Amino acid sequence: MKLSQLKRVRVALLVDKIQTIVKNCGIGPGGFQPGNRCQRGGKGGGSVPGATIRSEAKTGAPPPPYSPNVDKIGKHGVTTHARVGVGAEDLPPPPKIGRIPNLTPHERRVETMFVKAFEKDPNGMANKFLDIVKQSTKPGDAPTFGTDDAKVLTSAWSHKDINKRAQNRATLNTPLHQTANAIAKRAFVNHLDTLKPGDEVMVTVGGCGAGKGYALKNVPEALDMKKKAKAVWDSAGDQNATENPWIQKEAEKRGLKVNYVYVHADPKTQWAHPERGVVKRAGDPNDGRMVDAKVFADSYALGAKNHQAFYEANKNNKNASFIFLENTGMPKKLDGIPKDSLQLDRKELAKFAIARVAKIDAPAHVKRGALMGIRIWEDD
Amino acid sequence: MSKESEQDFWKEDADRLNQMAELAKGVSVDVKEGEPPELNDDGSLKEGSKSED
Repeated sequence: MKLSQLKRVRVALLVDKIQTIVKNCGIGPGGFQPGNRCQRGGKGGGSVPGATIRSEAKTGAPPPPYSPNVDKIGKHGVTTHARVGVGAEDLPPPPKIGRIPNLTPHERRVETMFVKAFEKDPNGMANKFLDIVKQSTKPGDAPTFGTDDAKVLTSAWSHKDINKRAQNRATLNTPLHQTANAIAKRAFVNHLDTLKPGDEVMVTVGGCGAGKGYALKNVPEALDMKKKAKAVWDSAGDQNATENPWIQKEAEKRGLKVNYVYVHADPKTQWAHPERGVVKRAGDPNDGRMVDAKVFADSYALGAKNHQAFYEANKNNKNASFIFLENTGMPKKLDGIPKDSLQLDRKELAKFAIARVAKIDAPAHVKRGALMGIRIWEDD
Repeated sequence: MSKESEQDFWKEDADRLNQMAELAKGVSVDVKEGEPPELNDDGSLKEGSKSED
C-alpha cells in the first residue's frame, strides 16, 4: 500500500473511532447525557482511553521540531535521545532546544516562554538554578541536580494556590521538560568545573517513580556512595538512562570518578499501586508532579537496556563503579538488572499504563498529565 | 521499612521541591501559564476552556 493510501486508511480508522466515542457517550446538542458511561472519569467507558485528549487542538512545533527515534542506538550502545529532553550528548546551546510536537496552544505558550528565556541567557539561567540547588542542599551533603527540579525556575511551579500549582505540575510537566533538562545539565557541568581531580560524583538511574531517592536512603552501600560524592546527578527517568555516556565523558575530562546507582522496580506497581504508585503520588496537592504514560513506559523498557549496555561497556573502567538496588517494598542490593527488566516492551507497557489510568479514580489533572502523550506522540 | 516510610519520603521530597520553588520566586520565568484549563473528569479539556487560546 502506498504511503498516501496508508495515511488515508489511518485517518478513516481514527474518524471511525471518534464517531464510536461520540455515539457511546451520547454527545448531542445537550452535551453529555445523565448516567452516560463516559461521564465520570472514564470509568466503565467503552471509549478508547484518551481519545478526547488525542483529538484536542494542536499546534505544530516551531523549529527545531523534536521527534527523535527513541530506539536509535548510538556509538556507546545506548540510545541517543529520549522522547523528551535534549539529546543525550547535547549541552544546549548549541543546538537550540527541540520543540515538542502537538502541544495545545496553552502548552505551546508555556513551552515557548521557558525556551526563549533560557536561550536569551543560558548560563545565567543555569547559574540561577545552581544557586537554588546550593541553597537547598543540607550542610555536608553534595548538591543534587535533577531535571525536574529545574522546573522551579518557572512561575507555573510556584502558584500560591497549591491546588492550581498541583494542576500545573501535572499538566505542564511535559511542555517544560525540554528547557529544564538543558538548564540542569548546564548547571551540573558548571558545578563539575569547581571540583578537583579525584573527586567523586554519584549518578542515580532508574525508571520514573522507581523510588531512587527512597532506595538510596535505605541501603548502606548507596548511602556511603552519596557521602563520598561532591555532586549528584539525579537522572530523570524520562531520559531513559541515555545521559550516562555524556556524564562519564564530562567527568573524565575533569579527572573525576562516577559511581552509578541503578534502582530497579516493577513498572506496573510503580504506576498504579493504590498506595505506592506514581498516580497516587501525583494526587497529593503538596506535590502534583505527574509523568506521561509513554515517557514512563520508555523509562523502564529503554532505561534498563541502556543502563545494561553502559554497564557492560564500563564495568572495567577504573573511573566508574556500579551498584544495583531493588525497590519492591524493602530496598535492597542486587547483583545486576533483573533479566525481566531487559525484556520489557515499551509499547505494551505504555498501553497498560494508559488503560489503567483511564479507569482508576484519580483527579482530572493527573489523568491529563498521564495521557497527554496520546496526543503529543500520536504515532508512537 | 514499612510502606508508610516510602510515603513519608514522598512528603519530604515534595517539601524539598516546594522549598526550591520558594527560593526561585524572585528569579523564575513568568511562563504566562495563567489559570489551569478547565477539565472533564477524564482529563480532557472542557469545551471552550478559558485558558486555551
